[in-house]
Amino acid sequence: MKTISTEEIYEIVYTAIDDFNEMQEEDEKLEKKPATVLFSRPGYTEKGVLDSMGIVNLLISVDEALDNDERTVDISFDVNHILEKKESILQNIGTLVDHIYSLSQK
Amino acid sequence: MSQQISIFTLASFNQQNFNAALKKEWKDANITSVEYEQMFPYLLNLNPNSEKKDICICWISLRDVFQAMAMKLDLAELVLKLKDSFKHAIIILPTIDSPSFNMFQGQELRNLLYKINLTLAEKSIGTNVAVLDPTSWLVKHGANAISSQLWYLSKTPLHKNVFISAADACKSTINAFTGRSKKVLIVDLDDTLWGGIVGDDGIENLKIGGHDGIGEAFADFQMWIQRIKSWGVVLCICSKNDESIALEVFDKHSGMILKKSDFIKWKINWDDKAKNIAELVKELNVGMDSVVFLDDNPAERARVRNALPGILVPDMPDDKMEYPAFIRSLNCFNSTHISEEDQKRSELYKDEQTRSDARVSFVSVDEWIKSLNIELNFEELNDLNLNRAEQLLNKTNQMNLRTRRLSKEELKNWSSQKDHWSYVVSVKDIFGDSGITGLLGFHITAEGNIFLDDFLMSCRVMGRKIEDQMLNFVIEKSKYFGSVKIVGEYLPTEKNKPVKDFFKEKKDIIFNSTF
Repeated sequence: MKTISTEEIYEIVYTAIDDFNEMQEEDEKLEKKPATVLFSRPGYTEKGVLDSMGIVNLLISVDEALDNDERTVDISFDVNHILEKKESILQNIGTLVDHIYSLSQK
Repeated sequence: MSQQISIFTLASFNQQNFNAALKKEWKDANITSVEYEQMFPYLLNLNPNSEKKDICICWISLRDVFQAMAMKLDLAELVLKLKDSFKHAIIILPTIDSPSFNMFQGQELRNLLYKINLTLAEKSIGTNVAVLDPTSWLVKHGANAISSQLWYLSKTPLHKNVFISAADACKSTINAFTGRSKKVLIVDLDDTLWGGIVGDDGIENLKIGGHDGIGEAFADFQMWIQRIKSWGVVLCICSKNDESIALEVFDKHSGMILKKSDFIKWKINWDDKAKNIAELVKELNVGMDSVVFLDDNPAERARVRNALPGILVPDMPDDKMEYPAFIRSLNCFNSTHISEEDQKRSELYKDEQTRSDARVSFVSVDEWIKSLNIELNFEELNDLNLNRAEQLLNKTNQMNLRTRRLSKEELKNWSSQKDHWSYVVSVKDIFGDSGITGLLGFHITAEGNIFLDDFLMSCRVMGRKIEDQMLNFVIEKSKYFGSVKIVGEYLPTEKNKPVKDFFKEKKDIIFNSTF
């Protein structure tokens, strides 16, 4: 597998967010920045816009974007696993990118 | 339909993504859904005439077939109950897609799917129900169309792009029901209707039909355009060419499927295409939003799009072999019912052209109209003219006093009530028979007045004072019934200014509304 930088992963994830945002209402679109909180977690003040369906849709879009990019086509992006660990992996876009980067190093 | 469209979706899968796709088509719509896994209880408890929505979309799937079998229910009949419950809505039923899994090698289940789909299709004819085949939505998105991952994670069976295609098809279906389908197709010639540039390559070198892949694709493309014409769409040409050279292709090239006589008007010259199209549209007396323009050249498409808001100018594929698939995928020409008038619409427009040409030789309009020997026939609504009456009621926009939209059944029920009348109006003159082109509906009010419920006329026969004769008919009726007054109500829409202009000057009728 070719090595890939976090910046390049951000680029791929942002492509996925563009695809995801196509179906979102204006006030539910995700901002393309590392600190964007994805969903609201109990006990945290930061609010995210995604409900459970939104999270699945985003992860499917990211999965497709990874499949479509030859640099990341071999990354094993396990949507079900991410959903199980969503409290840590899906805190924000940055943590999702970190997770993908860690997968690329395996 | 009310100002804010209400849409109700019904399925046994999670409809969130489908609803989001519908929201893209109807931005201000109020979309609600049956709760997850509640489709069967909902259908089983439906009562006649109980639901007040504008659109109901019920998307049944293979899982529902299994569930209905387990519950010993006739799924098609159960779904068709929606017709009675959503009496004033348009109901859309995507049929069950037939999966290609090996587990269905036994024909039994597949045959059952076919039977359910056929029952839905047959029992929807002439009703407020449209049955849509989802195959094209699935095929378009290939291997990703059906997503096991989405299903097991969110109970959504299909990729969002399939729902986007489905929502687009639903929108065009509603357009067909409400008379917003496109009525005119204007085509370019070189590399659009045939392969090559006639002025440079010569007729003999154009690719149309024959033993050539590209040529066959253009022949198929022309065949589809001819089919679209048979649905009542009027064909025109707008091309930058020398007219005599371009038209020679129709006469001399043996591969041409379309004939010159298939087109009712053309502008073949070196002028700006936007200007030419604007002139064509004006001559046809239709709105720009009724028109589709096909051109292989992206620059010409951009120019026309920018200059003529409302016109539909779809992007054509670069690969000419994709032209037939491209035109098949255009669902803007959908029609709920193809009437005899639709099939001969081009001929009717040609008669109109002959009429207009004749008009030039007369000094006054009245003199010209008199020379046409116009004959009007008023016939009470009956089973034979009901299809055309319903079509006129739901398609006519410009010369339409109240733009009341009713299904066939509703129209029939309305006019069968005591003191309610509907008349269809047929028009013919020395140049031809325009067929049924007008509809009148009125009832006697408690005060003994005649109230005009429907006063509408196809734009095709406008300008011949047909509307005056229709009004005279109502006046005669009011005398016959001994009615005190004729009362009208003008309900303005974006398009019905012509009817306002007509009634504004009429003194025989009292209007509830101001102009």
